[in-house]
Amino acid sequence: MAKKEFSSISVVGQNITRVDALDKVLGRAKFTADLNRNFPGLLYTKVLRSPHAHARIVKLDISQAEKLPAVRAVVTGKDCPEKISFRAPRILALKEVIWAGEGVAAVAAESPEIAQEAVELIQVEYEKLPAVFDAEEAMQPNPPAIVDRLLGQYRGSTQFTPEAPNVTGHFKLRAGDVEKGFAKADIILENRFSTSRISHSQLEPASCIVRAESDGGITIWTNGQGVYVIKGLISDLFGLAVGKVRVINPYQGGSFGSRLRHYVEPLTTLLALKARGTVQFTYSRQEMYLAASTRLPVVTYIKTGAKKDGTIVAQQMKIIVDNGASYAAIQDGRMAASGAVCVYRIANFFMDSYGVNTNTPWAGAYRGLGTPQVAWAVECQMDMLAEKLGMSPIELRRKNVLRRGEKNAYGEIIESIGVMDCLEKVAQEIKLEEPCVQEPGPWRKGKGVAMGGKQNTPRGRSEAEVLVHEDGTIEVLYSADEQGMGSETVMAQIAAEEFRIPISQVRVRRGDTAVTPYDTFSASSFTTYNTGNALRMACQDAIRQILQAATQKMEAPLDDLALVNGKIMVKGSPGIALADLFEPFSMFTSQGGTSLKKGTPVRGRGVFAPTPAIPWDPETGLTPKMWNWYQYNACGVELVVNIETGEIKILQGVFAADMGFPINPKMCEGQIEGGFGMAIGASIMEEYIYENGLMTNCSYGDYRIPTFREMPLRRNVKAILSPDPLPEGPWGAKGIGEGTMIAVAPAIANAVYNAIGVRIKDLPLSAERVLRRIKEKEKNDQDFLHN
Amino acid sequence: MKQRIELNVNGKNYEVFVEPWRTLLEVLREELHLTGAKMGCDDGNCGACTVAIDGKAIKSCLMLVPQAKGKKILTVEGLGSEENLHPLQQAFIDHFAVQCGFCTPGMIMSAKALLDEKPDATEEEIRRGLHGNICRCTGYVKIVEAVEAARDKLAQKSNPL
Repeated sequence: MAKKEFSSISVVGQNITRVDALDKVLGRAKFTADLNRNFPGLLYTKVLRSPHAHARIVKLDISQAEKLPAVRAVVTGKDCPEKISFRAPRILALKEVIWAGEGVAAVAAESPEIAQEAVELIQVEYEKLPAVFDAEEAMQPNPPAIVDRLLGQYRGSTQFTPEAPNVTGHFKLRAGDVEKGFAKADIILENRFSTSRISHSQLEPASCIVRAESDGGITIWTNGQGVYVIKGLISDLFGLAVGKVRVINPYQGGSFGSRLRHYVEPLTTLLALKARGTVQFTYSRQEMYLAASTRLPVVTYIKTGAKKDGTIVAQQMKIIVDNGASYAAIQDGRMAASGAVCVYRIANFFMDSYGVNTNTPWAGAYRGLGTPQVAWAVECQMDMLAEKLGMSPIELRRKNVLRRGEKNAYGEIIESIGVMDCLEKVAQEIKLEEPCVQEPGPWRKGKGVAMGGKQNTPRGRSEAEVLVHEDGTIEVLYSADEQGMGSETVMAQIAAEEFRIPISQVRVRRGDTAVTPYDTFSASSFTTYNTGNALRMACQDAIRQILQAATQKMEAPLDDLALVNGKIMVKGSPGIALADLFEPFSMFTSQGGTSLKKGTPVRGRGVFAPTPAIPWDPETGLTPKMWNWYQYNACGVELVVNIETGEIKILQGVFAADMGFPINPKMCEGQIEGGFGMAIGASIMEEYIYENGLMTNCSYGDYRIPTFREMPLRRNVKAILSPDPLPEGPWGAKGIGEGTMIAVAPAIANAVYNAIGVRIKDLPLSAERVLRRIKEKEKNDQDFLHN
Repeated sequence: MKQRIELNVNGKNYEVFVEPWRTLLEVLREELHLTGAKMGCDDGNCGACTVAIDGKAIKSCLMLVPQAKGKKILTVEGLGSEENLHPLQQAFIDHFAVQCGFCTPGMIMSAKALLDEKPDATEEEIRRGLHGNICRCTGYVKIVEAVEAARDKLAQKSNPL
């Protein structure tokens, strides 16, 4: 629509101040639990949770709890709808509990204290059953325990092909001929890598308020992701009329994938329907560890064959993804496995990935959806291979990296790939070729790099609307999430750009199923791409309607007109003001007609859905379109390791990202720095520690996440934007949120190896683990000398 | 069991009628409807509930409401206004130190107490002073940048030459 001669990009690509920042610094921005005071008579929820990882519920007596005054509803598994959705874990256990932390009964009462007292009056007897905590044991044909025979089948997935009772799915990739490939190899390297279970630990606990309405419907305020997805889930689970379920999404205090699964909304709805009242449920921090989503622990076996010149001729991988006790399992490990396919050119690739259930807290989406866990293996393997070949790690990667226009192992042609540029920039910035200068004392310095990519899942459907008012102000209506990544600002920028107006004239309205149009949720880093494309179409639709109205008034053909900053331009010269197109409205004399009327905004609509995947051959995994596009990144770190304590300090972090065109460069930097910080936690600090399957470190005090002090000094963190624009993205934008963790852990492990010659293949590189490996190496070195 | 307790918050006197075992955070949020201070953990580890009490940064989830009697409590709502933002608030906006915003009020209040006590705080002192406030979104880089910018702005104000 907008013609070249009128266009000059002025708002996108700029560091526009976040539109939500003022409310947030004033303490005015409303998060879900901030709304409590709006609901007189609000009821509070507490849940009785299983201390056992696997047990039969022999007896469950809620009668004492029900008798307590001010208790308004007590529910157990028997009150839950029979339907199970893959979008949420089972609401409450029925016959068996399958992880330590699963809900057994719940209470809604007039105060949180009374609810807690009632929970303590519930009597439950368990008969402990064998449990399985290790995914490799769990996936055997005869495992020590069966988590639940039905898990994984609830999705009704056609891919469900159990080879063992705890295996939820199996994805196979068979590209080329791996045996012939290995036969050509001069060198073959085999390793096993693993990652720990970690918590999203977003600052705002999961929270929702559900009001039972007198028409039989309900209204939900929630920090869960995807208002329409929640609407669909709740109406489906409870058989409620779709038109009577309304979902509203205040600001969300982070998610990182945690709130993609809806673990508080169904239970709270159940209680609200039973109590016929308004019920609030906010998870405690302990519940955020025990009964919210977690990151998928992954074990990766990798065997790589290479020629002397570094060319990789074959790769075989087995990837085991631990879903925990998940109903919302990432079925077959395909998403995690994609991390191994999207970076390097590997013609002969044989890969199996498995989703496996265990009696541990359930796992799911977490910033990158498994790809960082698999890239952890691939990128450590690359450095180990480079060392064996006597090559620089950069040269080895340069030799094997996919280039634009080439096919990856799925058979997809890669349209946009800026990964090597990212790595070259990072390596240069941290001066990888210059050896570290060691100082006296126990601290040893080292440098390392790694790179990675994350697919964008071609899923979802995004709609957007714009209201154009007679004074030129614009309202943007959309329903994707604002978890902190800045979607409201990006949408405001997109609308301002399309209408060629200052950002101050745009107001964003978001996340209310009664007001804003359909969207799926913000996941897979696709909000800028999916919702942004829909919004561009909505803007162009509104502009078309306005220009159409202008053709009569200005007696000019549509093609000669454009809308720029509130003026209708005719072939580049201003004609009339937008305001003059809107005719005065009079209640009695000029209320009809088809012309634009003051007081009635022009409404533009846009719909965008990514081109769907092309079904792959189930035996080979080959397809010309498995995913949509890929974001890429590279990281370089300089660190010190204390050889007496095993402690690691990150001194410098350089991170380059290819996110396509950056709509807001500062916000892209924010994603990079945030992902880097989060990844430091995943790399050297964070892990679930269990006793008989019960997590014992379930508080911020015991499960430490990075603070200011674990980050390098400000001047030593560098975020580099290195875009390879994607033609079909808005102005060439792709996405950035998930990619920013991927390369960090392997860069750290590679730097640790560089510092002390100890290769660690399991995450996290906690001080205990590093020290243990240092001692093992010392012992091995001594044994070697003595023999 | 409820008691009448007088509180001075953001320069105003309030009288609340609450159980003495309520935390200051609960009373600020539920009784006074000041929801700027957030509950992230309720055990003093995240800092999202930080307010200034007699100028010192205090995690309000760790203070019982009677302990706040007779003290001057400052929450983010009393720090600045839309027309007259505190330099920290302005710097957090200008430097993109806000993402999800859940830690922001507590972070700003900790920084305020820190800069009041140490107007020339170095980066190392800022990192040490704020390390009780957790942020999961930003990696802290832009928060340090914002606090340093506010520090410089405040120094300029108090010493216009």
